[in-house]
Amino acid sequence: MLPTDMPMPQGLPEDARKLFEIWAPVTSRWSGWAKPVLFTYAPPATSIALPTWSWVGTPPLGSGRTAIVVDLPGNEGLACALALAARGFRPVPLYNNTQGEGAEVIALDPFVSGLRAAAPALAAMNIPDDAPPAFLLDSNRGSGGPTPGMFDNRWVVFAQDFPSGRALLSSGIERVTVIRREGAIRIDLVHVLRLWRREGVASERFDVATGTHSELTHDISLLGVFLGHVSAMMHGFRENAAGGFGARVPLPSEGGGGGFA
Amino acid sequence: MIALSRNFDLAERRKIRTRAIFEAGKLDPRTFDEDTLAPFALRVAPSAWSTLADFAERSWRELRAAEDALLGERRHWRALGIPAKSRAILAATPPPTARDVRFCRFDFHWTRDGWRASEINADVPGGFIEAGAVTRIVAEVLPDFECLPDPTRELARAMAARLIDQSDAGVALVHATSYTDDQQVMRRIGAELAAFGLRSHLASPVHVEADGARARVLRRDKPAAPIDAVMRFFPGEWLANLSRADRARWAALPEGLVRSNPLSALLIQGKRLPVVLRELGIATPTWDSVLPPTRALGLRAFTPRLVRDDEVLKPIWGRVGDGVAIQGVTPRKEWRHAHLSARLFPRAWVLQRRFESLPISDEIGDPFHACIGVYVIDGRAAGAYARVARRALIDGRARDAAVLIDRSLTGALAPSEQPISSNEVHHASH
Repeated sequence: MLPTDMPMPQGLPEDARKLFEIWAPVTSRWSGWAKPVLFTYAPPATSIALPTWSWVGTPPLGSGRTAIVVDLPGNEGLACALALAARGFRPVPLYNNTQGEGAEVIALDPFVSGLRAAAPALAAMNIPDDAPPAFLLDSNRGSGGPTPGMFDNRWVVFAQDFPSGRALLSSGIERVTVIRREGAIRIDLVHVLRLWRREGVASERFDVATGTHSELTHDISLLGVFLGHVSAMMHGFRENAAGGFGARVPLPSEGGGGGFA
Repeated sequence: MIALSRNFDLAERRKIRTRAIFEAGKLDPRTFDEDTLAPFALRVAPSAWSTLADFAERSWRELRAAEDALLGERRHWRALGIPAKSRAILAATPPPTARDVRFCRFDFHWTRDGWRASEINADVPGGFIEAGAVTRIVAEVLPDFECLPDPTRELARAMAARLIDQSDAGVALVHATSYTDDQQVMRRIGAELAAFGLRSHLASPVHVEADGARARVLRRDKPAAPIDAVMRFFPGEWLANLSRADRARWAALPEGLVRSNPLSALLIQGKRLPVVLRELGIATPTWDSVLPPTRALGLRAFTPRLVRDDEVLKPIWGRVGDGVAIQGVTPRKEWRHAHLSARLFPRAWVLQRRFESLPISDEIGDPFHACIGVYVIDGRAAGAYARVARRALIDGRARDAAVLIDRSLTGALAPSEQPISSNEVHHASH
C-alpha cells in the first residue's frame, strides 16, 4: 500500500510491478540485475508486435555453463530474448534509458511496448529459477546524434551492471556468448568482457545473420590492459571508483562531448 | 550512540526492494553482486543526531560565510582547482541571493576520536531517495524507530516557499540526462515538487535559456516551458565542458531566477578549500574541528614517499569516496593509479590526515563501517542517510542504509568501549 504522504514518481503505470515481476521474478537467481527503469514509464497508446525470430546455424543452448549477452537493436533483442527463453535461458533486461520531454535520441515507446508485448509469452514459459542468464542490451544505446532541444537518452553499460566474473563462475558459468548481428562490439561491453576474462570467464560471439560462432580474444597482459585503457580514454571513458567505466556526458548541442561521469 | 538494526529477512528485503523501486523511484537496486540497499538500518541515538545536526548547521554557517568571502577573491578561484571555463561562468553569473535555495550534505564518520567529517557536498549532493522515501519504507518494517525529516520534501518545501507568489510556477530539473542514476533523483524531487503544486521539467544544462526576465526549457517537438527556478543536479565543474555558446547562455540566466544551488557552491565544494581558506586567514572553527587537517601536495609530489601512513590521498573533485586512496584499504591497482595521477597533476589532489573509523557489528557479528550524510537545507539540518561498507572506505561499492532514531539508545559509548571484532584492523574511512 502506498503511503498517502509519498508522491509517486510521475507517470508510473499501475501494472509496473506486475510487469517487472514477469521479467524479473524474485525467485530467479539473476533477477537482481534486471534494470527496472523502462517498467516505470507509461505505456504508449499503441501496442506493437515483436518481429518474428528464426535462428540461423547452431544457436546457444541453456546448458548451464554459458551465459548470453544479447546485443541487438531495439525489439529485435526482445524477440531474441523470447527465443532464448524457449532454449532454457532467463532473459535479464539491462536497458537503462532515461526518459525526457519532447523528442528523445533513442525512442522509448517501441521498447516499452515491446516489453509489454513479450510479457504474456514469457510468463507462460516455465523457466527454472537457476536457468543461465541472457542479459539484454540495445546495440543502439550509444547511436544517434542529438540536435538542439532533443533529450539525450543514449546510455552506456558499466561493469557494475553485470554480475562479477566471480559470481558467474560460482554459478557454474564459464563462458559468455555475445549475440550480435553486425559491426564491432561497443567499447563499453568490450571492457566488461575483458574484466570477465581476467576473472576466468571466456567469451565468444554468435552472429545471428550467419549463424557463426567466433572466439573473442582479450589481451589481459599488462600492455593489453594499458592499451585498453588508452583506447577507452580516446573514446571518452574513464575508470570510476566502482570499478566500471564512466563515459562522457553526452550533451545535445555538442553531439557527444561533455563532462565525465 | 549508533548501532545497526536487526537484519531484514528475505521477504522483508524483497518487499523493501520492490517498494523502493516502484514507490520511491530507486532505479539502481544493484551494483555488481550486491543490492545497493543494505539489509539493515542504522540506528542513531537522539543525542547523536543532535550532535551531528549541530555540527552540520554550524559548519554550514561558517562555510557559507567563507563562500561569500571567496566570491570577492577571484584570484584565488584557480587555487581552489575550479576549471577556467567554470570560473568564467561563475564570474558572469549573478551572485547568490536569499532567494536561492541552498542544500548540501555533510558526510560524518564515527571514529576513535569521535565524529569526523570526510567532506561537504555543497554543489550537487545525491541520496535524496534513500534519505526520504526509502527511509519511510524501511521505518514501516522497523516500527520502533523514528524517521528524520525527509530532505527531498524539505527541499521542495523551500522551493515552494520561494515561488509562493508565482502562479503556475515551473522548475527545471537540470541533470546529465544520459544517466538513470542522476535522473532518478530528479524524478523524486519532481514528485515532491508536484505535491507542492509546482511544475517540473527534466532538462540538461543546454535545454535552459533566458526568456526576458524569466527563463524557459527548450524541448524538441514541444513548446518551450517557462520556468521560474533551476534545480541543478549537474556538477558545476562539468559546466566547463559545455560549448562556448551554451556556457554563455547558462551565465546569462536572469537574476530573478531561483537557483538551487547557485554556481557559487563550487567555491566550497572542492577539497582544496581548507588550504585556500588558511592562506586567506578565513576561519571555520567548527568545520576545522571535524574535518581532518588538509594540505596541498606541494613538493611532496617529487619525493619518493608521496603519502605517509597517517594520511590519505584525495582528488579535489572526488565525490562519495571516488578516487580516495588509503594505504592498506584501497586495492593496489587503484592505489598505484592514484599515486601516478597525483604526481602528474599534484594540484588536482590533496593530502588529508587519516582517521580511524570504528566499525559497528550487525546481529551476526559482521563489522561494517558507516558514513552518515547529514543534509542541511536553508541552514537547517534536514535529514540523513547512511552508506555502509565492510572495508573502511565508503565509495561506489558502499551500500545505502536508512538512518532511524532509536530512543532506547541513550548516552554515548566512549570510543574505546565500542564493540570491535577481535581481528578487525582499523583503517581510515572517507
